[in-house]
Amino acid sequence: MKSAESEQLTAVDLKRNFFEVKEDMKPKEAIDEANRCLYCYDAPCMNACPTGIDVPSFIKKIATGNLKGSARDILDANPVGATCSRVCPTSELCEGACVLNDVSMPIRIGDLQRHATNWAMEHEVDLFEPGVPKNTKVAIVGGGPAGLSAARELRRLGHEVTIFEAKEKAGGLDTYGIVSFRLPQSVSLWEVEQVEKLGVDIRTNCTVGKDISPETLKNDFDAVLVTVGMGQVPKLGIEGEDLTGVYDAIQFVENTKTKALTEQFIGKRAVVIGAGNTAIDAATCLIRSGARNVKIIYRRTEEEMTAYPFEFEFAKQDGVEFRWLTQPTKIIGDESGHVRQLECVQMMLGQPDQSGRRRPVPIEDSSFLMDVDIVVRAIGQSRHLDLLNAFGLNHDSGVLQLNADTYQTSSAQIFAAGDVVYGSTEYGDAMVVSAAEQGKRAAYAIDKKLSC
Amino acid sequence: MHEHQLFMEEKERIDNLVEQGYKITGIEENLSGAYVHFDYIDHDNRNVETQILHVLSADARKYFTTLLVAKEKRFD
Amino acid sequence: MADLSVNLAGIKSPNPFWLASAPPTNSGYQVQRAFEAGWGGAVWKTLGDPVINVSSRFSASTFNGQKVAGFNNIELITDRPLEVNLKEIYETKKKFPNHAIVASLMVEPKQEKWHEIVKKVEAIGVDGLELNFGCPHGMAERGMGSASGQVPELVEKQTHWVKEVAETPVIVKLTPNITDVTATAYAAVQGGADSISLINTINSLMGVDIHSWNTIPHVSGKGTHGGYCGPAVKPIALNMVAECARHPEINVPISGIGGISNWQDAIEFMLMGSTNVQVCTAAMHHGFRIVEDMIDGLNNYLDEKGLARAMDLVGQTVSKYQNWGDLDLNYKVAARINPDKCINCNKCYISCEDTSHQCIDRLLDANGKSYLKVREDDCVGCNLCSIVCPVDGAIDMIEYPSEVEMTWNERQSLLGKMTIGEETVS
Repeated sequence: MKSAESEQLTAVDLKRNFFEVKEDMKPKEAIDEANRCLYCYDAPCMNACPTGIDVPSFIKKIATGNLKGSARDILDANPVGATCSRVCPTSELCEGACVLNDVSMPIRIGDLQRHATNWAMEHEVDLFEPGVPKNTKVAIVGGGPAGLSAARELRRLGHEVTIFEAKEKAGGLDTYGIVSFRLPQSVSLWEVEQVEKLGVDIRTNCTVGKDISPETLKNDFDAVLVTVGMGQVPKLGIEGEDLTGVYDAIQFVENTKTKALTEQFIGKRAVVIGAGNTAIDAATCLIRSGARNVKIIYRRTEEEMTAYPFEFEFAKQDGVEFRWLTQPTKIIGDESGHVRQLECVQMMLGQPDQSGRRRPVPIEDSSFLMDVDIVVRAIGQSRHLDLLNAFGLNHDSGVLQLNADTYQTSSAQIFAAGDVVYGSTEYGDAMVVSAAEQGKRAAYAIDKKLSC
Repeated sequence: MHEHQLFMEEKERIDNLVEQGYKITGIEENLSGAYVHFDYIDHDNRNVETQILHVLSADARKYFTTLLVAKEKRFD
Repeated sequence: MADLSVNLAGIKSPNPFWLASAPPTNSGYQVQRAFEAGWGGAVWKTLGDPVINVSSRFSASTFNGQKVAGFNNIELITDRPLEVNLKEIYETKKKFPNHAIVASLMVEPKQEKWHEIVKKVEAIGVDGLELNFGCPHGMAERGMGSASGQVPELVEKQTHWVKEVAETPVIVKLTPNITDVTATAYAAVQGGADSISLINTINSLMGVDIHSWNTIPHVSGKGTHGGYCGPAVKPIALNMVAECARHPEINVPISGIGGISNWQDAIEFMLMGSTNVQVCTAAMHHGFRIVEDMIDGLNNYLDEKGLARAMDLVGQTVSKYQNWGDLDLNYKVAARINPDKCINCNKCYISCEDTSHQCIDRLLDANGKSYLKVREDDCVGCNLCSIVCPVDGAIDMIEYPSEVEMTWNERQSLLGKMTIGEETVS
């Protein structure tokens, strides 16, 4: 990667900075690694995968040169398996569970999964077929990983499926929210295409509640699955947020994936507020966009940060600086209304709050100023309250009330999966792979309901 | 080492004789390689001169028989 | 989806993958688990007078960190009474009527003994019989197994005795512990065998413990030779299968055995004339579930090749397997090193320089970077460099088709006509 510090960036460099960082395994590399796999029985890696991919089986197939079978094993269990091979926290899931951790090095499961799914992307093969028609119609609101996963499974079970997607393209977070150098948009769009090929009708640029009413969905479909995910980053609630140069991290990352890369960040000083995975994404995007200096400021410490360790490592390697125990209090603009400085206050950790994390409290008279040109807020995401209310569903601040067995919301006809039901740890961490698994399970629950 | 060089030299000798009108009339192979008898026969079908080449390299021993096989196969 | 079913001398199975007669087919419980996992057939562990086994029994070779490159055992035939096995065969066949169950048999070389066991086993309902003339250890000391299988007359006679009473197809399983396997294969055919299966295990001693000076494995400090199998024996087995397949007088279908570990191995055996394959070591190493990739891989391969049936593979390569004297002396291949892919380990250079024909040069390019180049004129096309090369595609063997084909046999016939002193041809 070329950074602003070393030399003058060109548009070509910028583009290159957003290419996928990790190269595919070379064929020999993949076979060598696949042959290292012990092919465990009742393998811990498989049990650690939220979608239950039969890891030993797909790796064995790489070793025998059966890449089609390998890709099928992966995508059978996980319709967004190509995306997951790039974005899963594998060291905490499959690779963390690999028995070889105890005696050697774990198998590079994520890389092998990427290798096999890359093969499927490069070879036009049909891996799945729609089921025998059941004469039932299901509407899915939101075409992200949970919605796509549910659609694929419902289609294989013979239901007619229509996805309503507000954006121009389906894929949700995978298409718009994960940085290109980790997950190129083409991967997510390929997964969308696989679902479409099964006969799923994907209506893009169609916002439920605006372009089509919840009532229509309820009337026209036998079941509705809500997989709307999350929204924008909420405001910080401090002075100066409307100044030019203040961005929403989600929107900022989306711009790098959907618009021509801009040269406006070259040489700039940027601050990202928050220390989750989205903050890391925004910070690394800024570096790759040519920013001279990028700081992540967080009101707690490294201990409490929610970004994955590998994301944290990645950001540090990109040259992102971290300022712990720092809370922004005011954004100061210049006469033309552009960000000039950020006022912050130093924090210390006090008593634990209800989440169990120690609550940060300001240190008196510790206020200081930082010279910045860009401020990006990455303090979590808002929820689609209006839509949930329009459906008349019970929710707790945007987290849907859900029957854990039937995936039904407070309305028996309406089901839900994905981020829209995560609010606590009850349904696991909000990962792409968990959303995919939830989508699958919701699909089976819908099938069960509609089949009786 | 450089077996090919030896082959090229032997091939050249064989080709020279063939170009001059010599024909292979006899072959003796033993532990030392091949002794190839080349006879020059004039218009009256008289054996004018015989030359014997001691062929050492495997490729050259393959070569002179290939010449004969090619001729045989052309007649087939 | 191609048709994977096969028919071996009238024994039908849904796919060509059978478990060989061995520890994995010791009981009904195991064979039923195998059929549930997808195996198309099983040859039951050899029936006969129940034996008493020793402990320990197995050992394996590890090659450069890869476990079970080869496998050795000194276990004998079944140690359970015939009635117990027959009851389980009956139950298994009832549950899996479309899967092939073949009973492996071994008794003393006496007509009445063979008649007795064949009648008892066929009465229970099996799809075929396999005569174990191959087991090289233990049973051979009692005049059975390979002791019978090494003597063509005994093979023929015993096969004949079995055929006198057998109503199901009879497969004769051959031992590789013989100079020319076609001699015993031919004897089996003469005796009336409907099919042959090969190879059984090869006489072997796995190793010696350099600390205790005991054999590996040992039984209370003493050892005995065992039977070798697993991936290491595959080339030996494949040749023996091929020799039988191309033999004009051995015209019965073949069941291929020996180191088959995946779908690719199975295809090789089928191309070389096996109608189906039998597997043991791979299942012992990884469990019955390995058959899933074997089936999936074979199916994908057939689809890719546009073949509708697995049986279409059988024997396709046999006619290409010939005597050395019928190979073209004028066909040439020469190595070419691809500098873009070469990683400069120099392994090709040193193997050629020290042990082959010294035709690789180490050169420097204009930038002073070293590279390797083959003098193709000096290259004899031995393949060694490409064998030792660790990188796929870094060394290509370029073909130079011959203008005039000349086999050694043709050359000899020509020389015969041109010997000095006799009439000559010009």
